[in-house]
Amino acid sequence: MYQESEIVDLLMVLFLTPIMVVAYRVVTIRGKRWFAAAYLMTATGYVLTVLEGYVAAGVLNTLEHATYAFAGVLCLVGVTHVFRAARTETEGATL
Amino acid sequence: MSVVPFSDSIALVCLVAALVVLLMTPACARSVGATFKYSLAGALALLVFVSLSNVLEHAGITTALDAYEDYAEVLFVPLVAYILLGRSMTEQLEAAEAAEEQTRREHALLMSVVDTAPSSILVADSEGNVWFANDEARRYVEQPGDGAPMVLVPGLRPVIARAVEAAPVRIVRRWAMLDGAERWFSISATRLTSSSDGGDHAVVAFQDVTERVAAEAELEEYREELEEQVDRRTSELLELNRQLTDANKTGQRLLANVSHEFRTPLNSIIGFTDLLLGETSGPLNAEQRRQLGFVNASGNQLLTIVESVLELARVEAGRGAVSLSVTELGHTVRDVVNPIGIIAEDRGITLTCVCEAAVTVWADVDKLGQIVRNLVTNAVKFTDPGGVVEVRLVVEVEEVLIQVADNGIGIAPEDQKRIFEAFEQVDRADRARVSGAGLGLSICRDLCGLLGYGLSLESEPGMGSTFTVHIPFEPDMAPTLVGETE
Repeated sequence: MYQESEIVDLLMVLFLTPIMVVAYRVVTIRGKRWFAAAYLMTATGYVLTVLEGYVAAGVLNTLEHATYAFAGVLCLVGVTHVFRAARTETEGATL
Repeated sequence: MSVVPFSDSIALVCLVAALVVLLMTPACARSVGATFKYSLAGALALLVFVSLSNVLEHAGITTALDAYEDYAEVLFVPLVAYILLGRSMTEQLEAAEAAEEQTRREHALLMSVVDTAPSSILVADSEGNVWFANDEARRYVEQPGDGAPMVLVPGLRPVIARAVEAAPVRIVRRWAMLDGAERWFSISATRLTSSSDGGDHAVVAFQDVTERVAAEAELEEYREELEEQVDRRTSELLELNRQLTDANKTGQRLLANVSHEFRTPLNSIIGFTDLLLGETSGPLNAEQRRQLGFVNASGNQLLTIVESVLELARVEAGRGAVSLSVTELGHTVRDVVNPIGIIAEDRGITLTCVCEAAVTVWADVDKLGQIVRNLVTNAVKFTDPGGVVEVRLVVEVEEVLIQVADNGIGIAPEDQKRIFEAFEQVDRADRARVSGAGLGLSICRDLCGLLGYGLSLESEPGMGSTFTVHIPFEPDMAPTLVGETE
């Protein structure tokens, strides 16, 4: 069965994601696609957490943790892009 | 073996690495602001906490963190939304500030341009209220001082108001100012399409052009005066020309009359000296014969000049009636050249006539003969003994040429035009030896003009001269060989 916090997580994802999509389109963050993918992975993990209380608990639990692993990798790639952009900008300003 | 602990480990390692890299990232203003950096670090820290909790739980080490894991998961999504929206707002704010700064700079530039313009530029309504005026225009507006819009000086109000009503307009108007002086203004007005209060506003540019208008009027007056002066001078010149023509005609008449009066006594002198030289009145000694010979020669020379003057006067007066007839050109030329051959022979000059090309043309025999006679006589006169004078008849497609060529002294290029004028002769060392009044070529030119012939000259000093008479064929008269006619 589900926990209350998991339902709150799911509702947060459902209500806030459309707003974030609008903001995502206008912001200029280097590597923002990687961060978006990491966020979607995490949100998928939340959905799977709720679903595993009803069906295929073992598989969905495995998938949930796999999405977290993917989210971690994607975050690392995204942060690397940000790091490079900041370094380039700092060096350009120094020069 | 479950893959869950493995996934959690990967997630934990990657997230910790990402957090470390992010914390090492310099927080520069443009790509990574401090707020963005630390907010993102917070989000990553939440995920690290969740992953650490999962790893510890699945490793069987502790479940103590599990109780706080839910809080971390609940906080994650709003935190990401906060980061994204915050970043979005920050960027929009920066863009707005940049746009405002740009607008401010452009406004400053525009104001500089408008204030520097030599024309007065203002935004006014149809009642004469001024909502904007550049530096130049402020000379013509008054500021009430109570926050009310500026107003135009009374003298200008109606004309600007009219321009605003009629905009778009481009006019030049004279207007009486309050001090009674009349000023000219060049006014351009364009209606403002988006007026904030919806009233009739227009951008009006105007310039005091009184000095320019005055200058234009003065210029026009001067032009008219100049035109009158030119007309007056033209009339005077025409009158002067008429008087000169009359004087010239009178002079020609006088010259002709005097020459004519000279001829009778000259003929007497020549006739009586001929009688004396013929010794009809008795024998003469050698000295008397020599002196009478001088008198006779001088008389003949003078008679020739007088007759030339009379001929020139006749031609210039247009009294030389042209009598055209079908003429065999070779025959005519030979008849003229042959008698001169005797004179040429006396001077030791070889005169030849290459006139075999028998051709008939319409011509005035007497006048054509005189042209040829003058040219040949001139050639003989100005060729040194031992020289050659050749008269040629050349038939071309549209004209017949009579060429008189000599290998005499030649004529310098600067003299070639002048020698066709009356009483003009080429200066030369032995001028005293060569008699003549300088009328022969002038008569030739006038006679050629009268007959519709051309007369040209090719000459080089020291190499001789060639005078060519161009006789055009009549359109209905092709060149005809005598043989063919017969």
